[in-house]
Amino acid sequence: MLLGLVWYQHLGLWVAAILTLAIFSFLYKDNPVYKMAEHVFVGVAAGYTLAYAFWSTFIPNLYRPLANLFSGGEIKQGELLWTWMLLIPALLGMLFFARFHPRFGWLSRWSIAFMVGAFAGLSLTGKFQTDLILQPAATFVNLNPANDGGWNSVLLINLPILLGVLACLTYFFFSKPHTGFIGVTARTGIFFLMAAFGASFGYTVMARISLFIGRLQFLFWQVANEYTHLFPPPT
Amino acid sequence: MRRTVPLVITFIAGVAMIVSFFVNDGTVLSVASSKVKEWGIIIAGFAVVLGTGNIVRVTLHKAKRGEDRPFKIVLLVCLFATMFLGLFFGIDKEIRSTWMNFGMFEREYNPFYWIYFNIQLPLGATMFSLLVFYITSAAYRAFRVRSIEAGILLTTAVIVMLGQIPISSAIGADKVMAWIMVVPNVAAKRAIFMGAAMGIASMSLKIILGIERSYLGGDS
Amino acid sequence: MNLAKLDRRWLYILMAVVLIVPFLARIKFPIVPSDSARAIYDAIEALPDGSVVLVSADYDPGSEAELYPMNLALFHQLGKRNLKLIITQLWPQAGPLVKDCLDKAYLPQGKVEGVDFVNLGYKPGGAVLISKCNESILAAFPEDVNGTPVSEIPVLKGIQNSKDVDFFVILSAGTPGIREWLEQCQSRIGKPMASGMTAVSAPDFFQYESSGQLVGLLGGLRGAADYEALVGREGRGILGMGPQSFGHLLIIIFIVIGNIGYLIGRRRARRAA
Repeated sequence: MLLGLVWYQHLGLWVAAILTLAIFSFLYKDNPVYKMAEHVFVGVAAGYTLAYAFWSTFIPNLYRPLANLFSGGEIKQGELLWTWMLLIPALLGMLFFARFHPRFGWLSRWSIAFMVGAFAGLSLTGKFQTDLILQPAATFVNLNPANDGGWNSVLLINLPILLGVLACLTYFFFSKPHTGFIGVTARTGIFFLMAAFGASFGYTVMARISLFIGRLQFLFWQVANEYTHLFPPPT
Repeated sequence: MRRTVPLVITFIAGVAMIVSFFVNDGTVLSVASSKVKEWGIIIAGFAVVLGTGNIVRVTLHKAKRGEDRPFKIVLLVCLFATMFLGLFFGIDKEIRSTWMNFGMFEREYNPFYWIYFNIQLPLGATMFSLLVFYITSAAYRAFRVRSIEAGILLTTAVIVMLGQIPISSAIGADKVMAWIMVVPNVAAKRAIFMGAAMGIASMSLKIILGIERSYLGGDS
Repeated sequence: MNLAKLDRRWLYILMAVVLIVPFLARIKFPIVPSDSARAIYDAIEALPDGSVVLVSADYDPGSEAELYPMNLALFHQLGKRNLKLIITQLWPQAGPLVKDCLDKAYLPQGKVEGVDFVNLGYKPGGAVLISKCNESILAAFPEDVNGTPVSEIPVLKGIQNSKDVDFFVILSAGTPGIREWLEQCQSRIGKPMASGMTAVSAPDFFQYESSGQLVGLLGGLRGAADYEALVGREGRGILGMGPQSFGHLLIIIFIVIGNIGYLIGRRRARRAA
């Protein structure tokens, strides 16, 4: 039964369903149909990303301000020099592509250097603030029984966290041999780490199952239901 | 030129980011460091394009050598078709200017959008959903209680999996899971990320100061 | 039959059946939302009218099954409230999914683009972009997703940078995502931030909830189901948790059977030695 949808929507459902099944065919064994779908995926994703970057970055952040500058449009006070200086990231960005040329490949290092430097600067301050100041601070501040949870939360939650953090850090500390008291502490740290890895594994299982259920929801609720009305999706 | 300029660029970019963390008062220094971030957004945009360029180059290279040639041609056709549709029609759900629509689609529906929802979305989502089967197989074959540590790992994993099931509150598994997530998990992850932050922070400092240079490649 | 040498494809079929049957039977369980999910819901409900909420959709088709239902439920809640909504994306592939959520959950509640919300679209740069937003959202995003200059968008009146935002919700599937938002935004400006994330990454972020840097976090499909229950809409999350639960049980059974086989084998080997 063809209801409501127009031709390209029907075509879309079929294409999507066939591609979904093509990927699942890999579970039986590697085969040309899967391989084809895989290559389609890489191609489409790469083309999509480029077009998206073009319209959402180059046009508004680079082209418009520069076009405005060259066409003599109105520029905010104090912005004239900065607009001219947009030519610097344009040039640095273009230098990325020098790597495709054997003689000028070294020029692409300039743009890489910018990105590496910027991210180094940001992670230095960001990680310091987040993980080395706020996190240790919380570990100790939460030990105050005057907080919301009272003694219960101190003894059942926050004190064990403090001991666990110290034990794990002891395990990571290799400048002293792990013997005697340090050895016992480090071993306790391993137990905490294993419990955490177990938790991560449990959550990973949940994630993987969810993704498959997502595909079932698509195949039955969207595709099969369109033609049979037996699998109504939630409204 | 080949060595010094990149080191200077790294230093300037890195210091600009650090300055902007401490100074935000409208002085030349803070304005300049803030502008450098706008440059970063633009250069990151070029990096995205570079990624696509790299895929084209590698694929062409493989196709020339005859490796899986038909598949590589499919990849390139899909890449350029999607790219041109996106560049031509734009990235919105509906095409902004109607003259490009050829009267084929209702409400100027953008074919770029069609490709996203009917090709890219199902392929991407299904690709990752295969993992459920591998983790099933791994659960059956690989997870063995060979030591106390492995026992702890497996026990917490089982409790967490039980705890996620909505009716597990009947046996209290959800409470135990919540405690595992909030106590041992928090303690271990806090320690791990504190350690990682120390490592990354010191590495970042080395990069900005030009002590660590491996990202520039080996030669010259 | 030797269970250890069982062809892996039998395991695959068993798992598929265990997920498909409860899915088709539409088995569902009553969902009691976690404290964490409730904390996010209550925090948004407690925002005064006219508050500014920024939702960053940093995900893609690979995590659509988990994060799209969360996004939908979140937009249902935000649509009921009289709040200003700013939407950004750090992942290009999130764009059409967010648009879809807006069309399905937010716009039908009488919301008007530009007046009630603005979709600023995607920008690359991750940490650099977030850090720039601390100084000026408008300079990082000169136009919205439709190409309208931000200076002409009414909902953005009076909003300069991240400090003018009252609540952040980050839907994160990886890098760049919630970690960058915590490092570059939350730790600097201290505004309340909540996150919905894939189940794979969720365990790495509980410490930020414990330290108060995150108001709450939603992990994976269960998080989505929790939020659907709070919003009062049965969707892909709640209906997904039925088959999901059976999948968990099967994995647990596999682990137990695998280990029983292993222990028996080890005992035999010891006796033989």
